Amino acid sequence: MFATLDTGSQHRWLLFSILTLVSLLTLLPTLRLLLEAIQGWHLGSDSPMMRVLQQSATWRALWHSLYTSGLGTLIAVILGSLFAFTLTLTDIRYKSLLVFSFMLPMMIPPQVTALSWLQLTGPGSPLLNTLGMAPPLGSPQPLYSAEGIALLLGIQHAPLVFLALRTSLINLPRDLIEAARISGANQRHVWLDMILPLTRNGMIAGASIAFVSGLGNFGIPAMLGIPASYYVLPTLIYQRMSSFGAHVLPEVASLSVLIGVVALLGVMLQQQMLKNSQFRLLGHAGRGQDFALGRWRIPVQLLLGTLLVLILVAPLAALITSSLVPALGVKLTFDTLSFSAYQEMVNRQSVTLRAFSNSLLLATGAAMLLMLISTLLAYLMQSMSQRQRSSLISMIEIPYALPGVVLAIACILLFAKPLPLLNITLYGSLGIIFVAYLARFISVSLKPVTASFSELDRSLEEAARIAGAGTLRRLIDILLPLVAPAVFAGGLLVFLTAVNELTVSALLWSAGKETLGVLIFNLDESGDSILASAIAVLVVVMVMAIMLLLSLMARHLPKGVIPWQN
Amino acid sequence: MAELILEQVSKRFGQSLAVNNLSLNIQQGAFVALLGPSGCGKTTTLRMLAGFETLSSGRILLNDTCLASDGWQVPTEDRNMGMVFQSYALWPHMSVADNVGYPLKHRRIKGGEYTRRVMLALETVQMEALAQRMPQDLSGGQRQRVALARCLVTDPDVVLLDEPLANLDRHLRASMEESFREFHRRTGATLIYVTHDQSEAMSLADQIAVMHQGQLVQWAKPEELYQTPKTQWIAGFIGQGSIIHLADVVPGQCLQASDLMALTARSGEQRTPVLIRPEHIRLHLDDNPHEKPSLLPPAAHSLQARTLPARVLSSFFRGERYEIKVQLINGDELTCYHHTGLTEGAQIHLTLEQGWSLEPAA
Repeated sequence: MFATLDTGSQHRWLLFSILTLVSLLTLLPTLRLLLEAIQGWHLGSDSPMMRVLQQSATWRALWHSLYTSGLGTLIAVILGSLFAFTLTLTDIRYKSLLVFSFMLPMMIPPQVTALSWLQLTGPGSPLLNTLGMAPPLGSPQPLYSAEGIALLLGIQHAPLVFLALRTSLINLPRDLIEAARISGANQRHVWLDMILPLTRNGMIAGASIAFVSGLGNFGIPAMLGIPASYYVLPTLIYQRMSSFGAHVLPEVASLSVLIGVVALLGVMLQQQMLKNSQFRLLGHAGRGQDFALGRWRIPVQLLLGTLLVLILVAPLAALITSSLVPALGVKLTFDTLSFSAYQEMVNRQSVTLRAFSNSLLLATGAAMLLMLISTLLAYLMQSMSQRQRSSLISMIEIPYALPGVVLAIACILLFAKPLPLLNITLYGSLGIIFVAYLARFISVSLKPVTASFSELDRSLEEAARIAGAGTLRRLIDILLPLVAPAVFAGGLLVFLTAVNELTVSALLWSAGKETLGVLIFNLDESGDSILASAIAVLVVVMVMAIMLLLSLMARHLPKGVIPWQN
Repeated sequence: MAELILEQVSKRFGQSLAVNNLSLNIQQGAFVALLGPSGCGKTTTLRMLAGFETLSSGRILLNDTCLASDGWQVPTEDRNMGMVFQSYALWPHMSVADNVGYPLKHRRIKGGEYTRRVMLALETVQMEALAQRMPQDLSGGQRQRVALARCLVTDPDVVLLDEPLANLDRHLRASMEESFREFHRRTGATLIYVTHDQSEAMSLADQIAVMHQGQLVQWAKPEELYQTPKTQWIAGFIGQGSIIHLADVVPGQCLQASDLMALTARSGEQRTPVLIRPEHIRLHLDDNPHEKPSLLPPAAHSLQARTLPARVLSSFFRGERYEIKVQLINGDELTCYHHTGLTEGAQIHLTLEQGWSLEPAA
C-alpha cells in the first residue's frame, strides 16, 4: 500500500516537472512572438505588421522566398525520386554506398555547402584554376543568383524527398505489384498504374518538407544572395537586425510571423492534397521490388555516379583545394601546396579556437541535457493516451518545424530583458543560444527514444513493478539499458545538427560568442575564403566521422533512427 | 491432353536449395494442393509457376509450350494465369470494379464487353452490389471474393492460390472453401493451391503434392495419402496415428490383424516403422487374462495370442469420443479412441486390426 502511494507520487512529480519544462521551452517563444505581432494592432496602419506589409521589400523578399524554395523543391523532387526509385526498386549495385553519399549533403551544414560550391564555380575557383578551366577574370559568379540559391536548396533537400519516398516504396506491398503483373501489366504499366499512384503520398510529403525547409534555410541564401542583394525573408530579417539593431524588433517580429504563416500554409496545402487519398496498405511489405535493369544497369549506374560526382564530390574537392592553396588565384601544385590555412587556424586566430569551443560546448551541453529530457519524456509518454501523446508531439515539433530565424527572433524577444526573479540577462551570452538549441532540437532527440520505447514489451516493466521497483528504479534498472543505444543516437544527432548550426546563432551571437557556423559565414563574407574552406573541411570530416559512428551503432537501434541506413 | 508439367525443377537461393528436382504432371482442370510445413518450398514452386522466380534448372511446360527453363522464361504478364494472394492484394487506389477489370485492360477488352465481363465476374462471387466500393471498405471475406472475381474475369488456364484462407477466421473458412469448389466447377481451370493446413488440402484438392525440405515426398489422392503414406514423416504430418516398430517387414505393405499380432511377438535387427491409425485399434476392457493364467482353455489361449497387454497413460475427453494414449510392454506408445474414459495406469488389452508399413524417417 505504502509502496503504491510512493510510486504514484514519484510518477506525478516527474510528469509535472518534465511537462512544465518542455512546454516552457517549446510554447513560450512562439507565444511571445505572436504577442509582439499582435501588440500593435490598435495603431491601425501604423502597427508594425501593417508597416511591414506596406513595404515593397517585404513582398519582394516573399516572392524571392517562394521562387527559390519552389524551384529548389522541384530540383529536390527530381533528384530525390530518381535516387529513391532506382535505389529501392531496382537491382542496381553498391546501394549502401550510394545511399550514404546521397544522404551526405543533408548532413553537411548549408553554409559549408554554399562555400564549397562557391569554391567550385566562378573565376576565382582554385580547383578550376588548377585544372585550367576557370572562366576569365571579371566574369560573374553564376551562383550569386536566384537559380544558384534554388539549385543548392534542391541539392541540400533532395535527401528529404528521397527519405519520404523511400519509406513509402519500402512499405509498398510486393503482392500488389505481383497481382498487377499476373493480370497482364508490363513494367511500364506497373509503374504508371501502381507504383506512381501508390507512392504519390510519399512524394507529396517529401516535397512539402523540402519546400518548408527551403523557406527556412538561411545559410544558402545568405552566402549566395546577400552579395547580389537578393534577399529572401530570412536574410531580410538578418539584414534588418544587423543594420538597425534591436529597435526594429517589432518589425522583424512581424516578418517572422509572415514566414511562419507561409510555412504553415505549405503544410496545410500538403494535408489538403493527402486528404483525398488516405488508404492503408495491406499485405506483405518490407522488401523492395527487384526490377531487373538488364542492359540499362550500367548506363543508370553511370548516371547516378556522375550526379553524385557533380553534387557531392566536385564541390568537396573544390573545398579541399581551396583550403590548400596559399592565396586565391594560385594554382594548386606540389610547390604551392600549403597548410598555412590550417596552421593559422590553430596558431594565430584566437577567434577560430573560440568558435570551435563555443560550438562544441553548446552542442555537447544540448545533446546531454536533451538525452536526459527525452528519455524521461519518452518514458512518461508511454502511459499517456494516444491523443495526449500526439498533441504533446505536435507541441514539440513547433520550434523544429518553424524556420530558424523565427525561433531566433522569438528568443530575442523573450530574453532581451533580464529574467524575472533570477535577474540574469541571457541575451548577449551563450545562454540564449543554448536555450534556443534545446527548444529547436528536442524533437530530434526524442524521436529515436520514443521509437525504441514503443518496441519494448510492456510486461518487462510490469514485472519490475511486481518485484517492487518504483518509477525511477524501473527506468534506471530495466528500461534504460534497453533504450540506451537509441538515447545515445538521439544525442549524437543533436550534436551533429547543433555543432554546425547557423540560422539560429546568426541572429543570437555576439562578439566573443561566435559559433562555428557564424565563423565560416563571417570569414567568407570578409573575403577570407581560404581559411573558411579549411574550417569547412574540418566540419565535413567531423560530420562524416559522426555519421560513420552512427552507422556502426545501427544494429542496436530501432529501424528508421538512422536516415541513411536501410 | 493439355497439361501443366514440371520437369526436374530446382530453385537455389545462394547456398540453400529451396526446391530440389521437383517433377509433377498436372492434368488440365485438376484441383491440386501443394502441401507442406513452412519452408518446404511450396510457395517458391508457386512463384516459379507464376513467373515471379526464375528456375535454377529444369523446365515448366503448359499445353506443350515451354513457360520456363533455366535462365529463360515467359514473363508473368504473358502467361494468362490468375492468382489469389494471401493478403488478397487488392489495389487500394482502385474501386472493386476497377480491380476486377484491370486484367481485361491488358487484353485490349473495352467498352460494353469490358463492363459485361466485369459484372459477370462480380455476379459469380455475389459482389455486384458493391462494385463501386473501395477495397478498404470491405470485410475480409468480401475482399477474398473480389480477388477471386479478378482471377476469373479473364478465363485463365491456371489459377494459383497462395494460402488464401490463412487470414480468415474459422467460420469464414468453411464458406470460402465452398466458394473455391464452386469456382473450380464453374471455370474448369487448373487450380494450384498452396497450404500448410492438411485438412484444408484434404477436403479441397483431388490431388496433393506433399513437399518436405524442398523435395516432393508423395504425389497422391487425399485418400491414398491418408491410408498409404509413403514415409514416417508424412504419416506424422497427416491425420492422427501412432508408429510401432516391427521386424521382418518391408515398407509399403498393408498388414492385417493376424500378421500384426504375430509380428509383434518377433524380435529382429531390421525394424520397420508401421503406422497404426486410431480407428484400427480395438480395446478389450471386460476380461482380465492375468487372473487365472494356469487354467486357460485353448480358446482363451488363442485370445491371448491375438491381444496385447497395455497400460493407460492418459485419457482426454474430445467431444464425440475419448482420446486414449496407451503404452505397450516394449515401450511403443499408441493413440486410440474409446466411447468411455479410462483410468490412468489401468491395465488393458488391445487388438491391432490394420497397419501400414512405412519408409523410415529421412
